[in-house]
Amino acid sequence: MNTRALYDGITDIPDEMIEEAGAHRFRKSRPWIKFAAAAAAVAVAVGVGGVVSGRIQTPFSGAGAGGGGTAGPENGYSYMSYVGPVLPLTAVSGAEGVTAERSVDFDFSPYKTRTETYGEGEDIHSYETWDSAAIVTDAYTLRNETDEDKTLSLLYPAILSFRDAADCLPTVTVDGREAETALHIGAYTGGYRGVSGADDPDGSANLDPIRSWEGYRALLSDDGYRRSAMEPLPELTVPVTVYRVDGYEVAPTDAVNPSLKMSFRVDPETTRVMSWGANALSNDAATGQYSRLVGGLDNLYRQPEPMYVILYGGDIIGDYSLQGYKNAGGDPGTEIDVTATVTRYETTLDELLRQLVDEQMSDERIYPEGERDALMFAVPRETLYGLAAQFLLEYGLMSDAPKDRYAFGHLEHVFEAFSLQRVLYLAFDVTVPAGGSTDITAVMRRDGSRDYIGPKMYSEGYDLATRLGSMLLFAEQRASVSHTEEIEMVENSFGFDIDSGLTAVTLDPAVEHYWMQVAKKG
Amino acid sequence: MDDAAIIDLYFARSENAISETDRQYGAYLRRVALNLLSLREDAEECVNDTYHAAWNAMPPERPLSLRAFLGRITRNLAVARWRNAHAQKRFAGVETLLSELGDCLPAREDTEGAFERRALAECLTAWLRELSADDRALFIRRYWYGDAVKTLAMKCGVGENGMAQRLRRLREKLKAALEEGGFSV
Repeated sequence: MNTRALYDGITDIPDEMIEEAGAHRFRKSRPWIKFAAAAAAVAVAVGVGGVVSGRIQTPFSGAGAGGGGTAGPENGYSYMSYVGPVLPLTAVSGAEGVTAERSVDFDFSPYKTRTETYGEGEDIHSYETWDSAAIVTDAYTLRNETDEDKTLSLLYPAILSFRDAADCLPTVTVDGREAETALHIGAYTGGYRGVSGADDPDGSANLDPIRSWEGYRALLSDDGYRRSAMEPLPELTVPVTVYRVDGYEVAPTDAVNPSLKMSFRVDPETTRVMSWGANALSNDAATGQYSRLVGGLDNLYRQPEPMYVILYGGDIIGDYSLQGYKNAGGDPGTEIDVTATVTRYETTLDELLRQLVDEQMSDERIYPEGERDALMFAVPRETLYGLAAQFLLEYGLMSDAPKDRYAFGHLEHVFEAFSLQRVLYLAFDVTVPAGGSTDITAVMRRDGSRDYIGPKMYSEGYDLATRLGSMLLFAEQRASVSHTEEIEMVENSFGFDIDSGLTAVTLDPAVEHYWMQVAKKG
Repeated sequence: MDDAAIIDLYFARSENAISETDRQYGAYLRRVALNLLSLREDAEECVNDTYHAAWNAMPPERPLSLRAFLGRITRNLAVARWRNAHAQKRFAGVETLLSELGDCLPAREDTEGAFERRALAECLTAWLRELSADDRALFIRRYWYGDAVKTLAMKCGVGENGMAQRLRRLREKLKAALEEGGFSV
């Protein structure tokens, strides 16, 4: 289930509840108002004390530049949606005798309110909008202090999901010319956790993405993650048996949601059962009895999709059965007549994944045309196939220890591979002449990190790692903010003070991490 | 004009059906649409589309509550509009609601029917019935009508943060109820 399903479920609550809520008069807790006023006075006193004491402890209080440190408020900063820090350029080889100067600019011009239009002909409408994002220019000058030319193999890392990559993949230039880069893809940066509120400490049913800088520091503090990202993506050329179910025919009925269930038996010791297009399923490993159900067979607006039952390591034992039901519950007593065509064939899982990825990518309900084209431009189709295979092997039913989240075999889950956050590495080589220098610039859009509720809900976070995961020797690092007319700097560890015109600072190379919290003015 | 009379106009294919609907429910539908879509122009279009959809739906539909029926159409159109133009990042209302509702998602689906919209609505309904009248109205006003947290805070005479906390607790309760209802492990 996803948030859209929940939204739809709420949409369908009974009429009387909607009516009642619309007319409901809330009880105002008047005594609370008095208490709140008193409490607010106490809170102000405590709050002021807290701020003062906090400022005394931070090394950059009142200072124009530098400072920060791992102690301080950034350690308390985590986000519901954390974009991750801007990471530094790194060298895989050839960096001995080369020093780097780095200058990072956060350009907040996307916050500028703009007018956009939509519609056609005479039916043109306009609206005002802005983006909570920064254009980051991460510029380096590499100096070769030896007396021989140095060829470096470089990696520019960016924390992104594939869906973000369409908008946010960095463009790298070397001495002003766009570099040809190869894309290497790191694994999902987050993890999995059990069900909230349940006694499920070892569970893996929920995603557990990285929500703070500390998570990335732990992940990238050695080169294990980066090295595994350099490995080629796998292919899943294993044979599978596929049952494709389509051509549904529903006898005239008053059923609210006619459905079709395919029931079958397999040997769970040898056979892994996956499916695509099933709306519900049951797996009983004890008896080997499985079923897959597809609903919505009378959808007036579009044909129901084919359902695929995919078997790896074995086949159905005996015959399968098909039965129609009035709804997607598939309960006894709700049977109706539904027929379908079942086609059995053998293929490889890789071939099937390619077909399903292609079908998914061409579904405009999932990938609107513009978004799909941009994604296809940014990430080759072969990479998407490999990524789906990798996901199944690492986390899904092709893994030796599938995550709970995917253990039921819905193949649709492989598409999470495209929306999970990763570190993408752009690889390229440069030659720095003896005694000379080479300029490298990465430009990218970075959306702000967000909280949906709480004190940070009306502002966005941007942060920067000074040396995490980098093999370069940095002689100097600077940071700046530009086009700040439409933002206010809520808090920051860089030392920026926009009101005083302090928009560029020199960073302390001993400090690993800098952050800022900005809000759209007004 | 009452609901039955307006619905009769639809069945008679009288164009007055639309104007009477707008007179009776226009402000309410605009509020729901604006809560979800944030931009007045989009909300206006969404309401117009609602009237169009209502015209196509009646007959044969004869809703018991025209208010709920029309509101549902508006919500469905709003979320479809949001999905189609998500890349433009224009629809803060739906985006915020979906993000908040993400808190309530149970871990995984494992029972037949768990995907069924109807079953989910039934589970939600049962859970809502167990709430106090205030909490029930609060949840529906936030997640059905899309009323702003600030608006609800004012109506209840509490601060915005307090209201956000109260809603968060409701979402946590809902999550537990969904899990108990077989929508997760």
